[in-house]
Amino acid sequence: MIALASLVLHAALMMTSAPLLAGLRALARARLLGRAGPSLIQPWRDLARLVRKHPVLPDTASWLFTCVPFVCLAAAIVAALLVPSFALGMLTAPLSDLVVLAGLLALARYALALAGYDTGTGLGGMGATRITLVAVWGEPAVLLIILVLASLAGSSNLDAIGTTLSEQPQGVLWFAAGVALAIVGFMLTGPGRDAAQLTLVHEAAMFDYSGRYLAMVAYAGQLGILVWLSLLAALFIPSGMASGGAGLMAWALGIVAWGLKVGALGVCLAVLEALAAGPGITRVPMVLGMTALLMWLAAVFVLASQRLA
Amino acid sequence: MATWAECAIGTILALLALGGGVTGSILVLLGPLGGLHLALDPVSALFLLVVCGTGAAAALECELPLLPVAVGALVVTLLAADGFILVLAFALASIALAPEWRGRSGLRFMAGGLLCLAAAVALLAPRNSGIDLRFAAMRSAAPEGLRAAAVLLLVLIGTGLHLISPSRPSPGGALLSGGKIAVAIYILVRVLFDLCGPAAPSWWGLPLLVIGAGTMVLAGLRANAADDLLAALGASRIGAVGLIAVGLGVAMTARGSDLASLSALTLAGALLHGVSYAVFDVLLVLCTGAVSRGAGSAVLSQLGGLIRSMPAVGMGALVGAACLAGLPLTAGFPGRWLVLQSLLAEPHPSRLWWHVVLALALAAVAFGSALQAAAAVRLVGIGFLGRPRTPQAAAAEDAPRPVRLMIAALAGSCMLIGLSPSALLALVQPALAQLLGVRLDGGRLLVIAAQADAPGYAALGIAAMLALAGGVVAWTLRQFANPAASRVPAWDGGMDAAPVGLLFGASATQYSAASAGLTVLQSFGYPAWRSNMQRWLKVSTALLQRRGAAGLGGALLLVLLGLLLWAVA
Repeated sequence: MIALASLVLHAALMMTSAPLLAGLRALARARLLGRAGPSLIQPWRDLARLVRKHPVLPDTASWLFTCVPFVCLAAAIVAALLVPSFALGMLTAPLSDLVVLAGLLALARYALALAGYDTGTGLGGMGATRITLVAVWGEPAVLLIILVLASLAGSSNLDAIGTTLSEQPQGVLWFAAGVALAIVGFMLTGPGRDAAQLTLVHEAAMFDYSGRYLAMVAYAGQLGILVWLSLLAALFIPSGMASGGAGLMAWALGIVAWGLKVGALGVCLAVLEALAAGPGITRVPMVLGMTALLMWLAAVFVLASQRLA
Repeated sequence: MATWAECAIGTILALLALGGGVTGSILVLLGPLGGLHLALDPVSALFLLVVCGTGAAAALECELPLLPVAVGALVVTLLAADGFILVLAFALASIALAPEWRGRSGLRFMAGGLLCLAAAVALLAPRNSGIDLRFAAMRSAAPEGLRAAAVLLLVLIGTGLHLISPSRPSPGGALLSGGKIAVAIYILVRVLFDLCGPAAPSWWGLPLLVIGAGTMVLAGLRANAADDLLAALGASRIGAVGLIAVGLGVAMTARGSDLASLSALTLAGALLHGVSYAVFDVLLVLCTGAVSRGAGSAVLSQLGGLIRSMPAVGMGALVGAACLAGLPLTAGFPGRWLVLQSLLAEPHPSRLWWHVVLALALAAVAFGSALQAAAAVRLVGIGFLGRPRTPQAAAAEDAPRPVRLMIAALAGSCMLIGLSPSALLALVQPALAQLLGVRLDGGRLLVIAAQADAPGYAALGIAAMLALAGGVVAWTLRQFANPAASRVPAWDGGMDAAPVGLLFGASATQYSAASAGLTVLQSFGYPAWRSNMQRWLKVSTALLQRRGAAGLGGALLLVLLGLLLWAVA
């Protein structure tokens, strides 16, 4: 019962905060550039407006085009339910395997690429090929990060890793894995529709969406960023998280801690976006390849230190 | 038809062996060496399922006159219980399946592969009294040292040569080459896990692991560069064999280090991936056949927009491509997940070289899988989505009803395997028990996991959550959203509507087959690397031809014959 209650609370929290996080990042970015910036709930207003609009569909698109937003959003919602936010030991804890999580996000990514191909336009194809480029270099890096984390914790289940990492103090390899996850997650989730873009990856593939379909795909993108930041917070800044079976006070503390952590990470993201030019699409293979190499070295160290001891 | 009868008998035998535990052996009292021994055990039964399914689909696809002979010979290879009938039946099948002798490369690969396998089998035979090629005799006299290393090398080279031997350039040829590949993997598993005895050294897994990982990356690159559907599917097939080889390598090393549960996990993953790959490979090849008949060609740059004109085939290709990409809840995921778990799990043999190679193999497996997924997206995106690139593709006709039913049945079974992998795992467990002596104790009803009480991959749970999420989204939109939608001409970068003469639009303003793969390939440096490689290969073949390939081949033949004689004498 407690697990179910924590899951319901977690679902409500994630669903409502995803656009709020996007709003926070937009506000922080504007303030850093000297502007007043939009309101914090502006993304929610945008989603409500989009849902009321009359969408137009390209005449070259097939039934797949209207199904893909549902697939993307469903995959993003399930990913959000699998990643813990303020408490471990939710009802979905036995299901949340890191490899399955990576697969679900890959499902959303490739579905969007297929939607790009489906429009039959050059821009859609460009978005699709760029999505596959980022995926081809990002997924090995993700798997190597999972290898390091799973070797440190003994299982690839997210709850088990979270419990182990919060109980024992970890060293430099765990920090390296955190940095790697930050970089890789940034590349894979994409900064979203609001930020100034130097690389047209997701935007090109979802270019032809409008109305409720655009609302679904944009919301899925916002949920993706929240999932990534929650994963970082749960695995690498575990202080304040309630363990499984704790009471309401621990939950309240966990929610406050999670809000502070994700907010701080979002503001860091906004600082990076406002002050530094993001890597262009031609740099993506190099950045992700070096991350994969770093993680391969870390994996060798972890395996060697554990098994030879 | 004879092939259908053979496949039906084979499937019944296989299901009896796997489900009911019926095993047995018979002795057919004709032929040399005191009769031909045939036996049915769970490992043979598992591969029999694959071969019979592939053979039945091939009977649907192509009208090869020697097809019943080929399928029958493959079945006899799987049921063989002595080395002589194994090699003889496989040779018969290879000859019956050989392509029209364009060039002599097919003959060279086939002959080389058969000779290596024959030498390996001859080396395995015990030396005591005369020539005894029965498997039971081989098991009792396991090879050691140099003889074992020679067996390993020969069986690896033989299987490899069979894998890269060319097949007929048609859907039926692709299916039959898939069946032959399955039998080649069976021979590898039989020789390395069964006939070489339980005390194989642990370094044996290393060449399998390295070759498998490299094959996955190369095959993924090749699949992204393929011009037509059959070439892409062939490259993906080689990539799947690479993943199976990685699984077999880790299982061998784990067995050599007495880590029974790890070896069971990995071998289960490899075999599960092999069987499930066969299902969606047949699905995709049948879709390719339907496309080449309905749209006139299987070349990717001449297709497009087929999901509208061929909806049934398009749906089947979509499901098959999702399985190829290894997405969760499809048939391509459980085997991959199990092999990844074995690479991530502990305990592992505690040697530093193993850790280095293991981490590198994991990186290569990850790259190979990601490249495979990119190739699958390209396959569906260029071939089936978008706008038609030729008038034939614009006017494509859907497949006839029996083919559509077959495609729908195969797509349904792919989704079933994806949603409940435990069912297929239950079929694989008897083979595990026979080869390793243990079963995978993490194979429960709704979840497959690495250990008995560990959390794992719960396909039905994830599917239920996805359905729930989709339902909630649909309900919310129904309540709050504007239900309308209208169709307008696609924006396409500001281009106007197509002129009157171009009936299906300016189709060149979308990505083509070459450009779709180029983004990924260029980031690996593949085009430059490939042209360098081809230049190097041309130089080396020219060198071979000048020296006389006959001379080199003759020398190789003499060496192998000498090996055979030394082994037998």
